[in-house]
Amino acid sequence: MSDAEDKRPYRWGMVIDLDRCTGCEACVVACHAENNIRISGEAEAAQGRAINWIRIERYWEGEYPNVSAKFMPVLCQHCDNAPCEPVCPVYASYHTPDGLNAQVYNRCIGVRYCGNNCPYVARQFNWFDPHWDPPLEEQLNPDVSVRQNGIMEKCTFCVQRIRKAKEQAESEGRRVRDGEIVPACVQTCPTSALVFGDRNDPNSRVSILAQGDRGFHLLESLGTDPAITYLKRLS
Amino acid sequence: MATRDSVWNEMPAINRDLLAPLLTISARYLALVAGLATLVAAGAGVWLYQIETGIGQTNMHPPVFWSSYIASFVYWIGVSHSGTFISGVLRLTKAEWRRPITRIAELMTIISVMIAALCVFFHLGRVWRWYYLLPYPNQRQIWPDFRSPLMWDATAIFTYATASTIYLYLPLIPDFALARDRVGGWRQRLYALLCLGWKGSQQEWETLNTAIRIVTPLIVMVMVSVHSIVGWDFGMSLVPGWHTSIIAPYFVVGAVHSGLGMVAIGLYVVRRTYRLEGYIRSEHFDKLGKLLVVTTLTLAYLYFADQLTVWYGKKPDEMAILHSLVAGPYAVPFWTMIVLIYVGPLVLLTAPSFRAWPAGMMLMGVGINVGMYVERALIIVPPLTHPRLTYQWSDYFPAWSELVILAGALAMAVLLYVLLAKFVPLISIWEEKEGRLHAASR
Amino acid sequence: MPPLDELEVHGLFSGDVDVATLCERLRQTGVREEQIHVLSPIPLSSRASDCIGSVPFYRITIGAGIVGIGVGIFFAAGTAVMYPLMTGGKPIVAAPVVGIISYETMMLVAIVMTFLAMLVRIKRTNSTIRSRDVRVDDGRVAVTVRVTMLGSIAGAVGDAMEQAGAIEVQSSIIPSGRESVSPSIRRAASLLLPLLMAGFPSGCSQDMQEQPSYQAQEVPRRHSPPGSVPRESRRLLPMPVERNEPMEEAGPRLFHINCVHCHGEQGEGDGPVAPFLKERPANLKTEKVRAMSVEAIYRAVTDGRDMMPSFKGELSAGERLEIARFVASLSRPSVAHQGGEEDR
Repeated sequence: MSDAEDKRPYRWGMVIDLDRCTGCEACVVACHAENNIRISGEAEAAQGRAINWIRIERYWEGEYPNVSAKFMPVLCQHCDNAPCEPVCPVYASYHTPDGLNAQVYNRCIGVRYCGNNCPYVARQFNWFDPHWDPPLEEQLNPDVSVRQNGIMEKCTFCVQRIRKAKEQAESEGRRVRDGEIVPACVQTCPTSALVFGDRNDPNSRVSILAQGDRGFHLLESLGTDPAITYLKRLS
Repeated sequence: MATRDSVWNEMPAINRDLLAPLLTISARYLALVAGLATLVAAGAGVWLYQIETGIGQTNMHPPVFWSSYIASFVYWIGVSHSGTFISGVLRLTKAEWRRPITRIAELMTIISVMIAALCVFFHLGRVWRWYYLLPYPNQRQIWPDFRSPLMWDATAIFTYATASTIYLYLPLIPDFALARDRVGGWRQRLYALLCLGWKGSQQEWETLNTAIRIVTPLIVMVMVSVHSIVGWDFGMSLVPGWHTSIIAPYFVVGAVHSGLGMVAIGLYVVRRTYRLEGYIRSEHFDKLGKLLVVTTLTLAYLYFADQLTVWYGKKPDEMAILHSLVAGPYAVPFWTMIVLIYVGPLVLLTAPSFRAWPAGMMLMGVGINVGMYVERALIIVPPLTHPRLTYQWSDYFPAWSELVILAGALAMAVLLYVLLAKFVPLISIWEEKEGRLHAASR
Repeated sequence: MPPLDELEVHGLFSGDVDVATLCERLRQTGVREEQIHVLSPIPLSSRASDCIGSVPFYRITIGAGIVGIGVGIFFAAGTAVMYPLMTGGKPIVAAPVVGIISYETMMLVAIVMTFLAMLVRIKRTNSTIRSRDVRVDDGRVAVTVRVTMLGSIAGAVGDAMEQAGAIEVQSSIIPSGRESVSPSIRRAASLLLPLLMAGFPSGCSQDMQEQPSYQAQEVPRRHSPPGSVPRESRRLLPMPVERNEPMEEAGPRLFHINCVHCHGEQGEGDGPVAPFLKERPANLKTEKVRAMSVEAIYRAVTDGRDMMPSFKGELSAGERLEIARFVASLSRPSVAHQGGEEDR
């Protein structure tokens, strides 16, 4: 690898193939398990407060009995021009050099402007303190902070896995290989509808898939420049 | 027609009338204070409960991240424009009828700004970390983000609060000196401290007038910027219905509109309670009413211009919101608001006989303020409940805890006003005397 | 010559007295303009162009405004440059933002400085006037003239006042001597102090402190890998530990538990944690370690050394000595680590 390639920063991105997505929501469950997302409970879920960093949005088309469901996974798009970042008054939300939209939990004071400004409604808020009945707290991921009440949170592209892989690669004196970092949702998807990688690497699966004909960005006309490319459904 | 002589001779009566509110405490007053204090305590208790358990006590949920607390914040900042407008703008235009009104309005201003800041604290998720908003060097080497419209808010409101307090205090100095000579007890010591040893020499008057003349245009400029910046809290976002360039002027005019309404209420209450019919006369209500007609027309024009653009352009995200307001789930509050802040004032205030009726003007003020509060809530909630991704469409109504906390805040505002009325002469005594002398000299 | 006592002559007039004529008459008696003060309940003229010293007020306002713009630029641009964080594709130093913040700070500093200048000026002006007649506010104008006690100027002043139609003329003696610091300033300061010390109890919050992350030397959790030993337990757990060789002696066993993660299985400085450390752990089989006595190694384990932490709190003295002996034996393969052999 040449020196210039070694020094090139990473730019994490994802491709979601809507043709492959079956709407099974395994990604939702995996994200919950990996990221210590609190259990909202039935009452709060009825109020619309179920915390899902990734959710399957389902739209119905047509009238019964000729109905069809259209669904797509929606998560934080890690926009390059994220509208949620500049509105935070305390820098709890900023853009990392890796292209991630970072949320700093212990800096957040819960103003919630960022939640309003995300056009994808990808951001979640901790309305209460989290609580896990024992022994569920044993399954908490030690690599991920547990957020108390009053803090905004959202998909981080499993930054703990990204960081671990980067540290491993750095200790071994190499760059992160394509496919080495697998966020929880990508790892769990049974149909491999989700692909994650480095957009700065022209040979990564993410870059190649994103250049395909079927690629589009969600709410592209807003100019948010998301890091996630969706591949249009054909069937 | 009073002569100069007679004005000089009636000055002792003016002193007596305008200091009388400070000197007596009736049983009704104590009962009012007790009642308000109870409401404030209830609100404080519920707020502490909310701090302890979490913002989840409200009915907010994604996508509705902002609701009644922010609506109240915007509303109270709007009310605070009353004082600056009446004091500042009417001083600039040398309108003599402002004289009995300025102190009442300026007191309203600083109290409203305090309550508005309180509403922000209600709204914060981690209110115990509020000091992260302060720009000071710290060991974390981090500063707040000034690119956020909320930091513009913080700067502007801090400037406005400081400037308003100074602007209230400046014309109070001679009145504090007067009160110090006539009121005893612990208040006398405070008056002596606050009147800066005022003697009434011509050099002091010139200094005071110079300061007032310099600060007046500055504070009017600050007033315009403050509510524009509050409007930009919404205008800078991408939320459909918020992201409109008319929002800054609309908010400023709306603020003056609700502020004038609140002043009408305050004038009526003060006049009625302290029997100040000789000072707060129907001509003041009349002029206030005319100003209200101007703000009603301007506000209606700005609102119509905004909604016409939305309606004609037919962009789906914005049309969804307009539809929900006009014929959807928010139709009842919307049309109530239209009647209260546009139709009612236009119809009633264009009749001179109505304008000169103090009780009617007070009711008009109540109507306008209720309508403006609903208007603020309707600016915040329908756009949030109708995001672009329609899967997230939702609804919202305030929870009981929010209502108790906000009622406590309102009670706090009234309580502070009622308490300050025993410390600050509610009508500017020297300005009243000066005004009568000017009138007699013409 | 010691300062002389002074006399303040006050005359009370009706409200519409001709002040100009009165002042002219007083000047004819020999007093200067600065010694005459006209006290009124309302301003008698609408002049409003005061100065502090020779600096007009509006210049103070403008100067303060410029300082305020500087403050705004520091906050909006300076702090952003000091702590550049990319947010939403906006520039680090955003011109419209700097403009808005500077506008507000300009107004703030201008208004506050104007107010403070007025405060100073008023205090300076009225500290030279002793008396304040309560009746002024009832619709009278009072004129006070400060003269020395010597000579008959006081009398002349009094006469001039009476000729102008004074309702009442009085004199009061002002003893010489410095006026003490106004008690009002002291009172003001005493009010500020408790306000400033009202402290923020906010900092006591404990949120986000309980986390599932592993802490240093923490008790292993239920799901910890086999072979983990809880910190508090210094005796062997009944749990059998899988190893290639049986461990009979304390030295190798303790080394395996406490040192292997950094120094490696063989003590060669290649433990699994080593690549992530800023300095590589020592290879214990080198010359340098061979040159150290057991006592020196014991001290390194006890007190720590460079990046290596101290194990004084973790291990007892006896355990540390066993480890030191074992480490010494690593670099001296010829010396067998049999129990009891002196190796100092």
